[in-house]
Order: sequence, then C-alpha cells, then structure tokens
Amino acid sequence: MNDSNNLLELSAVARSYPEPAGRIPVLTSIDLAVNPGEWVAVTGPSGSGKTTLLNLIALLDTPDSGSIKLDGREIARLPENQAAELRSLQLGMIFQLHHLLPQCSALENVLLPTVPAKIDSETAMERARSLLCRIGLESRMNHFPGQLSGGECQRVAVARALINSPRLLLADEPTGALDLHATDALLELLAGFHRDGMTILMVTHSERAAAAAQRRYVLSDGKLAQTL
Amino acid sequence: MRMNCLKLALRNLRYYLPHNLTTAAGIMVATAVIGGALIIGDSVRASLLKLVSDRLGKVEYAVIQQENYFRSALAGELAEKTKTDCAAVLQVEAFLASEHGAVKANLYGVSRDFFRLSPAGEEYPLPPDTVRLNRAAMQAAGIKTGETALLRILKPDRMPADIPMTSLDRATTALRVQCGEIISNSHFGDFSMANSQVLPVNIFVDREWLAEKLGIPGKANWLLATHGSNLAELTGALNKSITADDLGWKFSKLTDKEVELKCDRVFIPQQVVNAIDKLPPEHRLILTGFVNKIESGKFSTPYSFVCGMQDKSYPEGAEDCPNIWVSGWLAGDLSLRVGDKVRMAYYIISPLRVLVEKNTEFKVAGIYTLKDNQANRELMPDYPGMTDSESCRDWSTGLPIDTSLIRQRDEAYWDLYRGTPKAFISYKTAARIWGNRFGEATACRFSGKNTPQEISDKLLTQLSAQDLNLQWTPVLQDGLHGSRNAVDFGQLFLGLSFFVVAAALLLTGVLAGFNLEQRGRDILTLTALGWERRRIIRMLFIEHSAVVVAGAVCGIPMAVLYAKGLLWGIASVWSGATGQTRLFFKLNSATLLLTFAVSCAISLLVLLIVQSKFFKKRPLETASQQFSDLKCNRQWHKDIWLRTAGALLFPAAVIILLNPGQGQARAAIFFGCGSLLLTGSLLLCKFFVRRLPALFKNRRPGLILCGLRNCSRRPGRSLAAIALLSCGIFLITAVSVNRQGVLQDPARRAGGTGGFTLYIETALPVLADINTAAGRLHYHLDLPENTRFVQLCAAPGSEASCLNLNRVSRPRILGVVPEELASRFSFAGVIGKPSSPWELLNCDSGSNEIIPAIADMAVINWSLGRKLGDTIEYVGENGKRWKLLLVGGLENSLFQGSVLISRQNFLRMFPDISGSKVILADAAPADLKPLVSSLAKGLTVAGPQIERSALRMARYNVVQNTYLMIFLALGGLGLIIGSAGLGVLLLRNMLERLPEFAWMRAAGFSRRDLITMLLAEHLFIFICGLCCGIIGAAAAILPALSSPAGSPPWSELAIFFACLLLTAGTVTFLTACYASRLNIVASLRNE
Repeated sequence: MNDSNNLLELSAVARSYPEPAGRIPVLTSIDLAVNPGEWVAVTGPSGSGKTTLLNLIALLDTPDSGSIKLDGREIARLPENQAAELRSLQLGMIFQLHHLLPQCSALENVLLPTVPAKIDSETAMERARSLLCRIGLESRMNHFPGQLSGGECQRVAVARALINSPRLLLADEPTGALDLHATDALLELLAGFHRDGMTILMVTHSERAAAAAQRRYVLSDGKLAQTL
Repeated sequence: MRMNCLKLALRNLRYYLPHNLTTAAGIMVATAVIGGALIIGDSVRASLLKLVSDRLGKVEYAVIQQENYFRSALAGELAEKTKTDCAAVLQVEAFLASEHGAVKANLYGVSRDFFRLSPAGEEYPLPPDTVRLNRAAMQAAGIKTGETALLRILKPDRMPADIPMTSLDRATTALRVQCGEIISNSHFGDFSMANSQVLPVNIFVDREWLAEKLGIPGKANWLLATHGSNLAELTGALNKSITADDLGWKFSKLTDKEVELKCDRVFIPQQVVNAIDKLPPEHRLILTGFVNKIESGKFSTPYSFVCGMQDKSYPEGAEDCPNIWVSGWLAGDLSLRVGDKVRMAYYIISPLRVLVEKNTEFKVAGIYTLKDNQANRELMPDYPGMTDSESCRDWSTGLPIDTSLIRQRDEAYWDLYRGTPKAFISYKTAARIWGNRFGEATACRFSGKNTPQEISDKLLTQLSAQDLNLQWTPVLQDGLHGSRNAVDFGQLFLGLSFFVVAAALLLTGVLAGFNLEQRGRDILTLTALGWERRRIIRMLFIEHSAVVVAGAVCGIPMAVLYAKGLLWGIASVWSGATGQTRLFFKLNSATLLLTFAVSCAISLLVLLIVQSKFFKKRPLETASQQFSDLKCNRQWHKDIWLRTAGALLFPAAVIILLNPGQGQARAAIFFGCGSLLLTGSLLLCKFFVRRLPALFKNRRPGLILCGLRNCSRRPGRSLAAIALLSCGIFLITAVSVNRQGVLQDPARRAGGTGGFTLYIETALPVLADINTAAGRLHYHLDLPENTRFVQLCAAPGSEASCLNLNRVSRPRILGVVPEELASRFSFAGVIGKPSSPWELLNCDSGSNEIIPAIADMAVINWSLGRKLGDTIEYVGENGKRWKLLLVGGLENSLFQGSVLISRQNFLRMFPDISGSKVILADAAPADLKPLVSSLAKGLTVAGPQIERSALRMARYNVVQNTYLMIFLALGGLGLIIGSAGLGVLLLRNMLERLPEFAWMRAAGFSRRDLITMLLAEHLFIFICGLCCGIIGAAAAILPALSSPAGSPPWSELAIFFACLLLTAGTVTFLTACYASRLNIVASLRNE
C-alpha cells in the first residue's frame, strides 16, 4: 500500500471509543488506497464503522493510531485550521441526510463552501449556477430545502460538495434516505462527475449504490477486505 | 449575492427567531432588574438632593449658635459688605400644644430676608402673633389653619445653666397664637440644618415679635448666607462687623481712668482673656466667687463674695495656705488679726449642677478699710435673682440658701455694700480654686485714658469670629455630601436582586445551550464544508450579539416599569427602609446607557461561556445529542469523594476550632460554613447522579427506578436544576431568618439596651442630676425604688443611624461617665484588650486634641465608612478642631446614630453645654408604668420623649428587617424565574424523549406508568435541591436561632416552600401528562 500514485492512503488506522466498561474497538487496522479518478465503495453491516472511517478521512475525527495520507501528505493529526483548509479545498462531503441549512436557499447552500475558500463572489456565483444547472435544479436555485424533495436536496448537497473542485469526494450513505428513482438519479449524477475525473469514496449498505463503484471493500470486524 | 458570515448570521437569526426570543427574554429580565436597581438608586439620590434643596434653599453657609445672641442687624451689615443675601434667624426650642395634642418643634423667628433665601426666593407674609406651620407640624400637632394653640418657649439665657448661682428653673414663656396657612417647602417650610431625610416639625413667626416676647429685642442666633458667597469674604466681613453687643460684652467707665469689661454669661471666655493679655493697656483680671462661709475658730460669716484680683498688691503666698486680705468688717466679724488662718467653704461648678463643696485655708495677710463705691460693688458678677434683691433673704438663686444662717449684720452689710467683696485673694489663687470650663475671670478692668469703644475695638482686632465661636459652617456642602454619599440604593437593590439576575442569566445560558445543541448538525455541516472553527464562532458571536442587544434594548423600558414598581413598594409595604421619605422617580440617560452596557457585557459573557463549553467538544460530538459527560476515570471518583469530604468536614472544623463567639463575625462564619455545606451537598449529588446507572445495573428496573436512573442521562441539566433550587432555598432561608424582632430580654445588660428599660430624649436640657434627692425634688419625681438613671450630655449633630439615609460625616456626640456604663452593652470590636471597654474613653490618647470615642460598629463601618482606629474631625466651640479616635464598636445598641465620649472630654469640646438631653432609665419592668407617668409629668418643662428601650431597638431593626423582606420578595421572584427555567428544561427533556415515550406506549406502558416515571425523575431533582438547600441553610441560620432577638419569618418561609413544591409538582405533572397523551404512531414515524 505504499504506492506514491495513490490519492488517498490509509495505513493501519485504528479507532476505538471509551465506554464505562472499557474501550470498544470500531476500526482495528484499516489499510486502504484510492487512486485518482477511482470510485471506491465500502460496504458492511450496520455498526461496522463505515461512517467512522469516513469521518476519519474527512478529518472530523482523529484515529487512535495509523496514518492517513492525501496526495502523500500525512493528514491524520493536522491542527484544526489546517484540517479546515483541507476540508475546504481538497475534500467534499455528502451526508446521508443532505444536511442542507434550512435557512439558506439551494444557491446559498451551494455557495457556503466558497466562504472559507476565499473565492471571489463572482467566480463563486458562476460556479454555483453552473453546478445547479448541471444537476437540473437551475429553476429551483432560490428555493429552500423545505420546498425541495429529498432527492433534490441530496443533489444540491452534491453540488455543494463539489463547488470548490475538491480532489476527493466522500459520500456517507448518499442514497440511504432516497427512494429507488431518486437513488438512480443520484447515482447517475455521481457517475457523471466520476466520468469527469472526480475521485469518489463512498460508504453504503446499498447493493445498488455499491454496484456503481469500480472497487468494493467490505468492512467487517474492524478490518477492510476488498471484494471485486 | 454574496455569502459570508454576516449574511448567514442574519439568516440564522431570522430562522431561529423563536429560540432567539427565549434567549433574549432572559436577557431582558436581567436588564430590567439591573436597570431597575440603578434607577432606584438615582431616584433615591435625587430625592435626597431635592430634600437638601427644600431644606436649605439658597443657603450655602450658616452661623449656628445655641444661646449666644447677636444683633439681627448683623445680617444686613454682612449683606452690604459682601453684596450677597444674608438673613438673621432667631431659633429656639418650643412646644406647640393644642386641644389635639402637643409636639416638640423648631421655632424660627424670621423676616423677609429669610424667605428670599428659600427655594421660591420670594417674600412671604408673616404677621406678628400668627404662626405658620409646615405640613409635618400641622400633622403632628393635629392643628388646622385658623385654630389657636399655645406656644411654650424656653426663655433665652446666656448664663450657663451649670453655674450654681443661676436658677434651676429656666423661665418659659407661653404665647397663645393663631395658626396661619401651611407654609410650603418652596417657601422654606421644610427648612432644617439637620442632615436627615426626616421632615422637620417647623413653626415660623415674625422675628422681631418673637425677640420682644423673649426679652431680647433685636437679637438673633443664626446667620444664613446665600449661594455664591465667598467663604473668605464672609469670614472677613463677619470679623469686621462683630461688635461688643454681639458678644454680650458690657463695658462701663468706672472712673476717668478705669474701664471695666463684664460678660453677660458671667465668665469671660478664655480666648478673650488670652486676647486681653496681648493688649497694651494695663489691665487687671478679676474672678469673684460666692462662698458659703468664711470661718475662723468658732466664728463664721455666711454667704459672702470674695474677689480674686490680678494686682501686685495681692501676692499669692504659699500654695497650701494662700494669702487673703480681709475687710475691716470681716475682721471684726471673725475677730481676725494679720497672720490668723481662715477657712473658706464654696461650691465648685460641676456637671448636672451636682453641688460639690470645697474648703481652702487662707492666711490673713492684711486688713483693709471697706469703701463703698460703685467700683467695689461692680466686683460682684451680675446674678439675676441676687443683684437686684433688696435683702439677703430675697435672694433667688440655684444655690440652697439657708436663710436661718443670715444674721442682721449680714442684712445690714447688704443694705450698705450690696455685693462688695468682703475679702480679696490673689487672682492666681482664685483661678486655681474657681476656674472652670466657662472661664477664669468675671471681669477685667483696664487702666488708662482709653474709652470703652477704643478698648472694645482693640480687643476685637485680636480676635477672629472663629475664636468667638461665630464661624461659618458650609451647610450646603455638608448637605450635598451627605446626600451624594447616602445609602446607595442602587447598589443595595442590585445586591438584593442579584439572585433574580443570576437566575435570569442562568436561564439565558441554559436556553442558549439548548439552542446550540439543536444546531449541532448545522455546525457539523459547516465544519465538514471547510468552515474553520473561528469562522463559525464569529458567525455565532454576531448572532449572539444581536440577541443580546435586542434583549437589552427591550429590557430598558421594562427596567423603568420595574423601578416604578420598586418605588411603589418602597413607598408602601417597604416604607420601613426609608422612613416615610418622599421619593420621586428620576430617570437618568447615563444610567440607562450604563444598564445597557453592563447588561450586554454580562449577557454576552454568559453566552460566550456557553459557546466556549460547546466548542470544547469535537466536531462530531457537537452533532450528537447522545453524548455523555460521564467520566469513567477511577481517579475522578476519588477526587469527588475527597472534595466532598473536605467540603463537609471543613465547616465542622471551623465551627469547632474557631468557636465563634459573639458579634458579626459569628454570623459570617456560620454563613460561610453553610455555603461550604451546600457545596459539599451539591458535590455529593453530582456524584450520586452520575453513579445512578451503576447502582441499578443488571436489575430489572421498576418505574420509579427508571425515573431515578433517567436523571443521569443528562447529568449537567439535572445538576443545574438541583443547584439552582438549592442555592435559592439556601440564600432565602439563611438571609430571611436573620430578621430581628422586639428584644425578648431587654433587661439583659450585655444586650442592645444595656439593661436599661427606658430611653428618654428631651427637647430642653435636664439641668439637675435626677439620681440625687435634690434633683428629684426639683422635678417633683416620685420614682420607684432602685430606679437609676444615666444622664448623657448631647451636642447638636445629625443622626447617623440606619434610620437616616444620608451619609453623616459628623454624628451627634454624647458625653457619658464611662463608669456608669461598665459591664453594659456588648462590643463587636475594641482596640487593645482593656478589662472594661468603656474605660477606653478615659484613656490618654497622647494628644490634647485627640479624644477616644465609641460608636455602634455598624455606624462606624457603614454610615461613617470608617473602622476602629480611624478618627473623625469635629470643630468644637470656639472653632477648636478635635479628632475623635474610634476605640470601640458597640454591637447593635441604643446609641446607634451617636458617638460617645467621656463627659469630661465632652465638656472640653463643648464647655457651654449644660445639662443632659439623653437619659437612660434602669428600673424593674414591674415599675415601668409608674416610672413613665412620673417622668412624663416631672420632666414636662424639658419636653421629654419617653420610649421603651426594646421598642427603640425594634425601630432600628425595622430598616434591616425591611431589607430582608425585600430580599425575600426578590429572591422569591428569582426562584420563580429559576422554576420557569426548570419548566423549560423539563419540556425540553420531554420533547427530546418523545420517540422513547412513544416506544414505551407501543410496548404496553400505560399513561399512568409514564406519568409515574416522569414524576419520580423530576421530583427526585426537586427533593435533592430542597435537601441541599436546607443542609446549607441549617448551618447558616444557627446564630439566628440561638439569638434571643431573632424572629425568623417561619410562616412566610413555610408559605414560600409550599408554593415552590406546588409549582414544581404542578409543572412536572402537567408536562408528564402532555408527554403521555402524544400520538404514538406519529412519533414513531418521525423517529
């Protein structure tokens, strides 16, 4: 796993949580490599630690041990401000429940990541409109999340995650709250971005979603095992 | 369109408006309470300043004399010289009696110039024989306009009352007068020099009419000067304007070459004698004394005058047996020859006219021929009742004259020679035996060709007005100082309301915490989108600032309403705090700005603390509502035990080891112990709440156990509720039980009454010692046996007790014989370790100008703003400056408001003050009624106000008790706000657990089961809070429970706790009922 061409590289990453009875291991020794332009899916039963894995990569959590490298740079234990910068410029994240800010319109939600990235407003606006157009919501850009369907909200979340042109898109159960039709629409959207060169790391328990990926891993007993 | 922190913050404000409004509501309450307290402070201060303006008008300086009367024309002369308005006033003590009652009053004889100095500044008609009363006088006397009344006035007498030669009976004048209209405060109706908010009882009459009636035409004893007067100029003008007539000096030309000076107060003041010594004209000081008898062997001559003269013809001789030159008449009466010894018996001047007879032996140095001439007759001082008597038997003096001793020879002598002295001694000897605090000369004779006017002018150039006790007092400055530094009601109400503010801010913090938790997901999303923590914090800061400003702005008008409510309370149910003072509402924009700024600052601080606690969590934890702050570290558990044990043991150790005795420190130590017990109890609660899950591990829980276990789900919230309840209960209980009632055992000598049954203050001095048979006989006092009195001299001054809101810089001084108070009263502190603290009053302070003094410790600390060892500066008579050194602090005594010094020192400071105006009576309680009756009748001429000591103490306690009542009321309000917060907390808990309740209902739990579980959970919190509060309060209230004067408001506290229990129970029950009625299906679907 020491391929210098890897965009993302995890080595012996472990994470556990404290409980009154002692620590409970969630991830014991995770090794993972994602190449640029790949679409990798991580599946596993509920409670296997998929979200924990994604949170570690997104620098929302810190591993107990092991190393996480992005483009060869160690990022597991960065100071908060550097982690934020990385999240802003290098990573994009999609959650299961879209997590759009209800008080902001679709356009404003998409613009949110441009604030820490310090992109000038004209450029940001142009990108946002372009993305919303691409996801088919140009006419709904001034609507608030409460006025959009679940699938539409998730598509806005995708646009928000991509506005700063990140190196890696992290998706945590992106279709978990969607029906079949919306799931297909979302996967089609992601596929489109993947074809344009986006690297995607997706955790999911949906077979349908996992099938869209190029490589699949199964997370079980705290360890990752590649399937196909 | 631009997306940034500010825009998102504004969006958030609008989107989360309901949440922000609840947070703003807490800030609004805090602002209202802070602002209300500060506005009250402004209002009281403004009211006191207005009172100063009402009572002083345009007067800035005043010369205030008691019984030294000068020409009223002096005011006009000063006005002309200084080009300012001046007025002369004739002030006397008086009684006004009508069919409705009698009242002691300040009687002012005034003229037009007086009313020009009033607030209105316009003249006011005052016809002769008509009196104008102010409102307070009308109400006190129960008189209406047009009715007649009897005005009884003590006739002025410059002669000091302690001189035995003067009559004990001071003449009074009774005048029947008609009452005119009420004189308003704008026309000086409330005129007063006393620095107090208590409205004076004033009567105004025409000055010249009054002066005529009192036999001192054209005289006054007060001078007033207006604003803008230059003190140096006024002093200079007064120095230049004073004449001999103003000082009671009488010059007479005895011969072509001799001018004599006498004083209408009999003795020439010492500073005048000192000035005489500096004058060029030759002079002889004279001190003539009245002797009871002169005897030699078996012969005795009664009741004679002997003259001490400063003349080299009369050398002193041996000190133990000085020389005496007898007249031929005396030599014949006593068969004397030169060299014989004679013994002279005479009374000396002592306080309360106690007659002390002394004897001195003399040696006859010469015999002279008696000459009857005016010069020799003038050697006798002018004693009314004696000088004009036709015979010795007609003498009417204060001395007990045994007329049976007066012989025919003596009557013949009087017929021929009147008061011509029968013998001469040296002036030095006379000064040694007859010198007293009033002076050491009864006359002075100047030789030479100078006229009386020339001598008078020369003498006056040597003396300043201050030397002559005519000094300007900056009354306006004193009054303004007293008002501006008065009891700060702003700070007081802030202190009393702090629990309300704390509760409001705690509620604000709790609600803000809830809001942040609710937005945890948003914050996680922003973090995941690359927003730096500081950017998110900045965004929240903008939101919080807007909420704080909105809350503070809305709180300002509420502050105004709250202040008006408090003012209404102070004027009605809490009037004990201000003694019926008229208070008006005063709004100050600076105060409102300060309120806004302070409220914003502390609210923002609270929100920043909540925010900072929130951001201590990791990003993922901010979105999780399942986080637990349970620490599983074993070491932490040990720490809790240690901390708890320490907190519980420490106060026990303090109580045992320090063994706090009496005094204010005792209450403070017990309160501190109570606080530590409360802290220990709360720590115990914290420990058990966190340990609850472990206690019920592996057991099938019943409903009640489930409820108890649920307390540990959000231990921070549970503990916040327990802490709020317990702190409120502790503070309210611990402070309220310190209410003081009427003393249960006023006879206790170590108590506040000193064991005295009655406290008597008289308008006019009681001149005799009423412990003696002679004194009781004079006042016709038929007293129960074993009744003893302690009589205290009183100098004018302001009351410095808690009944006076003004800051008094120089309280009234009382002079006492320290031995008479031995082993009475208790001391909160003394300097050194004297065997009897009262003995400190007799100690040598090391300096002539420093006098040891004792006062109530509370007065020292709070009214005077001093501590033991500090000094207070006073100006005594004749302008001499004194420093009173505070050597002892009494514990809550009858003397609150005054400063006590020894009588000896008192007479050094105020030699011209005679008699006593404060009397303490020690008698058996069973004798109270006859004692009061006898005193009221016997002391009528002095105008007594007789009060039971215990009731007087209770009056002082009214102020403190009122403050405690206010604290109880406001504390209760704070607890209600806290309970509202608890209600919000409960509701929040319920809403968060709705899915859980839905599951329980779906699993078969009935509504009743749910209610039982919830009641168990929340009543456990309430009971913990109650227990912790009571444990802490139990220690803090021990001193009050053991105090005989304590009067804890048990009934009010019982009602308070009952309301609290009812509120908590009702809120819990209603919330539980709401939770039990929810729609199962909808809740499960939402989950």
